[in-house]
Amino acid sequence: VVLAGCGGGSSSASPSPGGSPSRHTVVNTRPVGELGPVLVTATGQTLYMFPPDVERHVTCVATCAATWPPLTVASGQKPEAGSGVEQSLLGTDPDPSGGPAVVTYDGWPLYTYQDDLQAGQANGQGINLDGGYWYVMDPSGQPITVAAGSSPVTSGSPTTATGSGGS
Amino acid sequence: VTLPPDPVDAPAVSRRRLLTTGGVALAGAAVGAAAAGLGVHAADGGSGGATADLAQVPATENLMYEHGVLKRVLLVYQEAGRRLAAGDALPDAAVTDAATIIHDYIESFHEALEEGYVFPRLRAAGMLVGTVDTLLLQHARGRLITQALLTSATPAGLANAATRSQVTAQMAAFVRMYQPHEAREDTVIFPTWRSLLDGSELEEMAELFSTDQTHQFGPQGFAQAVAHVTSVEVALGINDLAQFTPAAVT
Repeated sequence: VVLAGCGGGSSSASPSPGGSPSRHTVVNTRPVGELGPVLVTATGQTLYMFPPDVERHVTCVATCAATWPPLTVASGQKPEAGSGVEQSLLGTDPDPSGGPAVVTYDGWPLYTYQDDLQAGQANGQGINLDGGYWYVMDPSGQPITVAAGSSPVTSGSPTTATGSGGS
Repeated sequence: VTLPPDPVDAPAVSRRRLLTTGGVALAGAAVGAAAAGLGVHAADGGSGGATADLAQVPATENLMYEHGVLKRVLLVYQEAGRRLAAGDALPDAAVTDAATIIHDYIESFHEALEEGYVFPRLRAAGMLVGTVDTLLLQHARGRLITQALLTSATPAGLANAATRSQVTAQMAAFVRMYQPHEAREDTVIFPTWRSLLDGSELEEMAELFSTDQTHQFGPQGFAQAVAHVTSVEVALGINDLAQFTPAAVT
């Protein structure tokens, strides 16, 4: 039995949920709840690092990348530092599945989380999924490992179902 | 590069556990047969027949197969919750084994297919966007519940009354959320997504889903997941489908 998982290899059919990289990929910072200032995309989406990516190696591919779309940069382009971000810490790492280069910060590949529905959310902070834990990063390049101020999960407080469906 | 410390308040969870069933022993020859791809069809305790070539299964049907695994875990959670509330005996690893199936197979695989292939296509078409947002939020909340169950629903944790109560509430919240969640996906999301794909795209998706599953779990990933949930059902004594048949109406 071959077990690859998120960190075990690549798929020729990896999803590209992040779409095509823009001509200019900018990394910014913004405060997110009790986590303080963290790295975000140009549109404010929270960025995460993945400890199994140690030593500048992208390991989240295939179905992992479907949930955690990497922040990518167009061929021939370099990521740009926005407010509060150190340009010297920005870099890129090849996508082992053949996609665009993945933006790194202090060596860590950066990913968004599909379940962050809007800027300022960090629903992926501290969760254990796809082979490891996921953490936001502060502007100095340090992972923040405290839990996000998520709503406690209790009976009687189900999510508010706003979807209409049925069309 | 400095690695962050491993959290000390949660177990290291690996999808590999899906294939190395933990505290609840695999339930007899039928389970083993299914896991081995032999396709037992009679008196199988719920594990036989789970050996289809998934590349030949339509992508929407494949997603619904996976929902079947989820439904069976919800049944496990309901029974485990009933036992905890009643003070009845509960096999040590029943809840954590069930949560492991959710973590490894549903959250790290099935939901990734939805998040990577199904939901983006609906968004691009401007269809059911509000529903998709709700489903994504529910994925996020479900993952938090699963993480909490894997941490708390251990024998040591369940020895504490407050933890038992918390675990019971978390399982109930999970069941309450995922019953309408998967029903909406089966009846609205998947049919709408399918309507957006032409024949060749559907075939491509079926092949891709099968490839991703093999890549992640090996060629018998679905059968293994079915075998695993069957083993938990056996441990709880809820694997006999006939026991759910009501008495004849007179």
